[in-house]
Amino acid sequence: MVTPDPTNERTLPTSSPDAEGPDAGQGPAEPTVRTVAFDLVGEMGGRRIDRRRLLTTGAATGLAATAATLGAGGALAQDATPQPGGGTPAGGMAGHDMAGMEAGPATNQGFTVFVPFQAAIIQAAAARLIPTDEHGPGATEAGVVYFIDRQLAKEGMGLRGRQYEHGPFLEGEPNQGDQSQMPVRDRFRLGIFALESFAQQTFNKGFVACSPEEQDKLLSDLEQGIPENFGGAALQAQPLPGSPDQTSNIGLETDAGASVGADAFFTLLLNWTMAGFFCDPVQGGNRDMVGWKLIGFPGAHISYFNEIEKHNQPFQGEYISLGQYQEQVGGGI
Amino acid sequence: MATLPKVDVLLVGFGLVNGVIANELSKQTGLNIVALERGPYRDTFPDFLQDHFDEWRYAVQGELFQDLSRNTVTFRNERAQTALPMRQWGSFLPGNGVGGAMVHWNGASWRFLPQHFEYRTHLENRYGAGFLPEDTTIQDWGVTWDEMEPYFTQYEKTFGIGGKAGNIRGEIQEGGNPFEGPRSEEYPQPSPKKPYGPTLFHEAATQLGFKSFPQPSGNSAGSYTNPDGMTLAPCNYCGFCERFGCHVGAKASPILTVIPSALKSGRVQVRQFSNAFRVNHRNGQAVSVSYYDGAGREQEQPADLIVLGAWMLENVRLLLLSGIGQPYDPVQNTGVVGRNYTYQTGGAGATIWYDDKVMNRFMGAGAVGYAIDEFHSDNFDHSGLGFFGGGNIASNQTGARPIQSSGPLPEETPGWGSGWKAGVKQYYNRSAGFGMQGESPAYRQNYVDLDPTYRDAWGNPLLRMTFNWTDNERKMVRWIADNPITQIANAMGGSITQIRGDISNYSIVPYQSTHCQGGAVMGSDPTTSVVNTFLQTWELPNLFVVGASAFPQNAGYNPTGTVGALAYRAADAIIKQYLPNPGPLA
Repeated sequence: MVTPDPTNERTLPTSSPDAEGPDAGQGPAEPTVRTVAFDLVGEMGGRRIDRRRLLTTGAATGLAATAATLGAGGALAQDATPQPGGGTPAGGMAGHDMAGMEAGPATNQGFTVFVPFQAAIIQAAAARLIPTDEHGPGATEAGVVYFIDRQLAKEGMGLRGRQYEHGPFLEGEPNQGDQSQMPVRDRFRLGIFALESFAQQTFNKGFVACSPEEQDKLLSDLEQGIPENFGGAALQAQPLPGSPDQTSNIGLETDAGASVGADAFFTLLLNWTMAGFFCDPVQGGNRDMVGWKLIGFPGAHISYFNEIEKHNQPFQGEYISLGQYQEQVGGGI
Repeated sequence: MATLPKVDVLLVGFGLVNGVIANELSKQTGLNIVALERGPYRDTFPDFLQDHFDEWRYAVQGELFQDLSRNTVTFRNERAQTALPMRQWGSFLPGNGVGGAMVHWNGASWRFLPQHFEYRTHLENRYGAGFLPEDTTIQDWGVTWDEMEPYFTQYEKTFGIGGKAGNIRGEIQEGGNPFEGPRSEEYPQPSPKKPYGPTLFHEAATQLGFKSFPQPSGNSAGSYTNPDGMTLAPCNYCGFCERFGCHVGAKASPILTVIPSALKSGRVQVRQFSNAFRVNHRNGQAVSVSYYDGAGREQEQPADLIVLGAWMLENVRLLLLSGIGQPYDPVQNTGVVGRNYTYQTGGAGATIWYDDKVMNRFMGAGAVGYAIDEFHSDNFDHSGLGFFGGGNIASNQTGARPIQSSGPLPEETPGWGSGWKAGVKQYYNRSAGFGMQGESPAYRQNYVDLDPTYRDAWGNPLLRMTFNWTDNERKMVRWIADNPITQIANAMGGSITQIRGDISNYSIVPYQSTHCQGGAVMGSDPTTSVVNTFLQTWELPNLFVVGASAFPQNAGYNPTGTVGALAYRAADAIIKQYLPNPGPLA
């Protein structure tokens, strides 16, 4: 069981993260689809929670599921293991303990790009890529989701640093490199919703609510390029991720091409999860250097001059992060 | 647009090449010199001392590399394809800033072999005129080893290169590379310390009868003061070398040697954040360079003498953008600018995992290890092999930083999940590896020109690269992998061994090496070269183009040492021949 980070409790959104949805009459022209604006209002931990969500009509059974998923997303520190009855929640948000909602001291926790709903899916997926197990802490303890969130907030962040962004954007051979115009931030956005949609289609519940075995199955499929329409389905899944009916076309489409294909999104997620696990903690991941401790990488050592010729002798020095090193060489600021 | 007051000498790019030339000119003449550099000035203190241990920032995000959002290359394997821009860094990593790519290099510093400078002549003499593939355009450099040797020596002394000589004035030296050309003297520094993995390679290779010798290195073994009075500190083997600046001033670099020495003169001015885009010329003379300044404004800087010493791709692009020299046409096989683009052939190597050994792979530096040269170039008989060329085989431990080097892991290790965790925990620190850096011959169909579609941030065409391996390199890689590499890997013991030996089509995606050459090659024939053997353009006597752009083809070594020697040769020619009597030197 993961030790919850108490600061995460305060990341539950207390106001709507969404812009006001369109009224029913302004929905897409598709005649078989009708949309309504839906206000979800609830009392949580003594606080009033308003969420305005865009829902397809007739998705009554989806409401509770949506609320449950959002709730699970808000309480990020929860283990990724499924909640009892997680697949078909009946109680909506009331199923979650909101006792810890009193405002604590200000913190730099929270998310700057993701909303907690998205972050919960990333956190759950990363926890399968680098699980917490008998070998020690995993992606959750390393704070991988916070690393990804912080990196996506950076100006000009591409797949590997600043990238060339002039057109025309043509599909080339794989050995010509990624050619998509899609910014990495939007690849995460679409990929998260597509993964959620895939979980709903496959197991009739959200990704976070799936069991570890089910999550592994979904991620394995992604790795092998399944489902084929992964990127194209992404936007359709977005407005109502918790609804069993969410595959109905509400008029949002995208063709993100191969850049948000299942395998491409898997590779992106895996690479950034690994980076968040192994980076210097100054970048927001690898908390308490748990990634380094797994493999024995000692970090920012100014010198191995006296050690490098001690062949076949395990290094005994301490783990040191860049921040600690900067304190040493610069005396702080 | 402003036209600035004329200066004596204008240098485009301020890395190894123009650092050397600025330093020699500032010591030996009273000329006023301006250097245009597209990136910033960074130094050991405070930049690298206080920040360099950040793998995500420097190695993955590429803090020290060219800004791709402004300028990149387009790439295709062959002319029938549409070249597309390299949108993310991959195959190679040009630098950005004062000191150039040598700020973030590993430090492997070689002299090419004597036969490399007369390669076509050598191979045709030994095997006959019909031996080489019809489409190869390898050619002699127009200089000999004996002419280059003093410049190699000057470069190695200035940059404090460490190693063990294998041949001093014709006498083979125990412990060095017996295949190297005769040196006038021993290396200026001893070889740096050796980690465990490369030592296992050295022992196995030696046991098999190969002459394993220390990797020539720009990672300073000790405290060193060069002939200009500039100093290098001893390498700390911190493991953050390639892609990083050195935090203690121990990696041979222009920012520790030639550049501060040149700046001491007070006659060298560096303009940071200045992107040159055209050499203006009339009546057979270069007159000025147009560039965008730090604010993006167009400026024109007139000068009497201009030296292009940017990274090689940009040297070639500047010539093409300026209309200097005839662009190469691969169909007609005419023209010279862009011809003979070459790279470095990798793909042959081995990884050995040990259950009973710990490597401390996080320690290391860019060039601390051993090498053998038995299978390089024409050091072995190619009769009946079906290919020409070869490569240096080396084992270095450069520091296994965990984002990019938590592996390699044995093939059966899962890519993620608990199985991956078990594998990376067991084997991250228990592998040793080695590989070949193969020669890259020049071919008629491999070249660079201006892209017809894609443009840089200022609207100028990008350089377009058309490049692929040929069957010659594919056979070479396979043979090297099946023979010496398999033998050495087996002799290294270990629990699991993996051999690599396949290359199909060149890909721009994975990092391979920052060893790009050609496009403005040197020679004694103006129909097959852009610059003469003094690196002076045939077309404009007051324009020199110096760097790896001048290599007619690449050897199976890192190019930096030979770039350094060419820079000293150009500086010497400018000072002793051109300035007293400005005009064509050949």
